[in-house]
Amino acid sequence: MRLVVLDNEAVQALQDPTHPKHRHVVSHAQVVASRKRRAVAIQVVVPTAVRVEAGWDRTSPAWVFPNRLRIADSPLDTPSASTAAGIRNETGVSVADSHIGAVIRSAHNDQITVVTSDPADMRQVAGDKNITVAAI
Amino acid sequence: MQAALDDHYEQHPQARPDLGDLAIAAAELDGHPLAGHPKRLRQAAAEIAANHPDASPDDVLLWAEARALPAA
Repeated sequence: MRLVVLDNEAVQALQDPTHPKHRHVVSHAQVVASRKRRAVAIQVVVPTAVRVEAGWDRTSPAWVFPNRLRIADSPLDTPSASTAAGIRNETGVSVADSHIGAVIRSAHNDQITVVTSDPADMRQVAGDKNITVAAI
Repeated sequence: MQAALDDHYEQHPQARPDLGDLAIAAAELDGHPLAGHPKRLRQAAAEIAANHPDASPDDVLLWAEARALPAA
């Protein structure tokens, strides 16, 4: 199964129809939706620290559209927090990006794509994991 | 998920991706070598859409790959 991970700007672009990258990120969501309809194994997740950074409150009406896209939370639980802390100590990236790194490193998926405005940081936080970067 | 997207396109028609946008997004998600060549993908999308209005983004990628092959 391919795992698709969203970063902060991808989330913000998805939520805001006036964002210059909105259509680009919606295109990714549309491709995922079409593949799911064809029973292709693909899942989109948002690390919860990314959701905090982006201001994605699932109870807020402003986030109805992203809420309806079946994007699962990847929680910052105890093991993820420890991995993320290690990544942050190693690299100095943001808390949200460190959580993305923890999600990548703990994923058992054979294919991982990160939709991001910062490919270099994503490659850094991924460590030894092979990832595909969809730059927005 | 598709219903959410369809509702969104109805409210924000400018957000609806065209075939070229979708081919680029598909290439990016898969790490396809043509992901770094959006102009070629848009050209291929325009060509294939002219004769096959129901073409998929994956059809565009195949066509773009075929166009890149040297003639035998």
